[in-house]
Amino acid sequence: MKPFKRVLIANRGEIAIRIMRTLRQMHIEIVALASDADLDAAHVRLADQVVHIGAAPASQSYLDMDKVIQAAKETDSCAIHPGYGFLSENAAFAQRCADEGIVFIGPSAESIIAMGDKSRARDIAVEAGVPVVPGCNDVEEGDLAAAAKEVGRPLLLKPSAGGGGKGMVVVNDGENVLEAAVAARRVALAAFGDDRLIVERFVHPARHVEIQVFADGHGNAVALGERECSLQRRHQKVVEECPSPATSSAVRQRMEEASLSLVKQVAYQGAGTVEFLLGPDDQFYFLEMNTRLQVEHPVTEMVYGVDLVKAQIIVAQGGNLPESLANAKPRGHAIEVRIYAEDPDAGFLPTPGLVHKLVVPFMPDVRFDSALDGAGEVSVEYDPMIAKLTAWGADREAAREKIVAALSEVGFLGIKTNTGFLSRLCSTPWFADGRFHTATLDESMADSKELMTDDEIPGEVLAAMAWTFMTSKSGGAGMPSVSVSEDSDVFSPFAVTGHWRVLEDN
Amino acid sequence: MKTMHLKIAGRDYSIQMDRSDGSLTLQVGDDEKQEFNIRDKDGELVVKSAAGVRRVFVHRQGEKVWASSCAEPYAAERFHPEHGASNNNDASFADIVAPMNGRVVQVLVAAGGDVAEGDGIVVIEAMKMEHKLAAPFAARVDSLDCEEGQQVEMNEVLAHLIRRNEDS
Repeated sequence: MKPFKRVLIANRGEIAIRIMRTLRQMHIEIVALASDADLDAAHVRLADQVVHIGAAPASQSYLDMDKVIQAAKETDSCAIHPGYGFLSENAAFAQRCADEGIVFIGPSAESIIAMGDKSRARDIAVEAGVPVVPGCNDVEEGDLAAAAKEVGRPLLLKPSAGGGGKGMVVVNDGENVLEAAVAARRVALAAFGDDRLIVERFVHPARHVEIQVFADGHGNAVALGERECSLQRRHQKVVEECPSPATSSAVRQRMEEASLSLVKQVAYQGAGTVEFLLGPDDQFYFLEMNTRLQVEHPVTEMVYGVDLVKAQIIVAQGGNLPESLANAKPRGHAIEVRIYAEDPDAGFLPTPGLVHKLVVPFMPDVRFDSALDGAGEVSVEYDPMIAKLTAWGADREAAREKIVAALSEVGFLGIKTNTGFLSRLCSTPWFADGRFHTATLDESMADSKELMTDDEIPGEVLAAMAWTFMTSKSGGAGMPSVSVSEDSDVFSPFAVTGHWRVLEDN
Repeated sequence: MKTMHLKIAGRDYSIQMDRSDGSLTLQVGDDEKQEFNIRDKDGELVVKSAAGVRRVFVHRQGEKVWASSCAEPYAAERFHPEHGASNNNDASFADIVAPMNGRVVQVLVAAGGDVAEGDGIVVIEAMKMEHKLAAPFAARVDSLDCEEGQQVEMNEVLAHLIRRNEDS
């Protein structure tokens, strides 16, 4: 096993900084990539070397394989960590790395291909004895009626090549499946260039529970419990936790066993996540496998006391599954919230802009993974997730209290974020009781205002702001300008809520 | 007493206040006066009132102050009423303005064209999300002030509409 001297991080934002933390600890040199929009970004300032790889749009920088490979060669980096998103699940990129003699820190191109196509992944899961939702793959138009009859109602039509919930259609009792399929095929073709559909039973209410797996490619593999990821807003995860409030140790064990047999089936190497739907009857069904480090990996790290990035690097260097993972035991409970640059009171409009001051929480058992390390810009070009806050407690309630407390110590002063929304969410009785499923958040927001900001501004906050105008100097570069009106209701973002759609999943 | 006008979350606050050392007397509009005791440690304020005590993180940039308290972000903008704009819900014209920084990805109408209430005018994109800006009422597109691919800033005017009388 030869230790890496220098690793290139083919990513940006909070995940690039999180990977750097481990590389520093392992005394490995760090090469960062910077697009035009990121020349002064925190992940660039913290690296040892930076390669400026192109224009701001990701397709011309972080997603451009040729440029990323070229950067690795120029800097003599022996390995590339792809993070999540961007090129992390791109089999062609993993293959290019292999061809160029650069280590791709992740699974083989074959594993990525096997798990990247939903239909194939499902077939492999069936072969491995992993339960799948009753359904049929790649259904032709002529076979649709028969397939729908076999699967039963309610059923779900989803693109074979899709992901993240995009293009999915629910067909209830009494609705025409043939009509629904015409629309579903059109969406699938437009979004993924492939109009094949999967027809399957719609499990409802369901939880999204995923198992963290790790394998070393020498026959050793371990499952590190589950993460509960049911709280999603329009298929974007918002809060994750470990363990799930819905799983018993018996269910967990069965899910771990199923995940490990899948890992064996595809000779998987590195960190991976097997996603399941967990029904109300404790039956679970394979959804898909993510062949990369997951956004929400910190909850697993806190509960199991492991460093998954470190393990990824050790295994990529040719090492065996670290003892720390093989013998890891869960302890306590962890909850992560995703901080987005968005305005929950204005239909979750993105709020890119300048953060003039960053307020960072300093509390025991609290972890803050942030794209910013101080004042800085949240670029209009990239994903609105700017930070993750994770709290550990001896039990779920302790972790819940801690995450609410920690949120009150976070501030991105200069832009609006969803921190208040997250705080209210974690304070609802249904969250405190662990009573929720994948549709709960969207339903709660449609039915009640409990997650919205109170119209009344607290007197203390008003006093603090008036005080600041009177006592503090204007902060440097700010333009002293007479206010531009933002009060015209018809044009306020709130009045046009509902037109947003997500262009890409993460 | 000093007067200050703040705009917070689209609402105007007219505030009368008196300050001495660490204490502030504040009156919002015709509400009752309130006393606050404020300790300011480098932008981390501890504010005491009859209701209790609360920590508020603040930062001032020009005529704007950002605050965060109990996880909730706030932004206040100081304005001078003589320059302030008025609501124009019954207006005979409307500006379509960018609700955030972004890029125009699609222009759905042509200058001079007619649109119905709710018709899309422009689609802008930021952070991988698309957002359609719609006509607030039936109107004629008087001018189009943007083109596809253009980067726009929050509050930038993208189109100007003139109300169309339904029966004319």
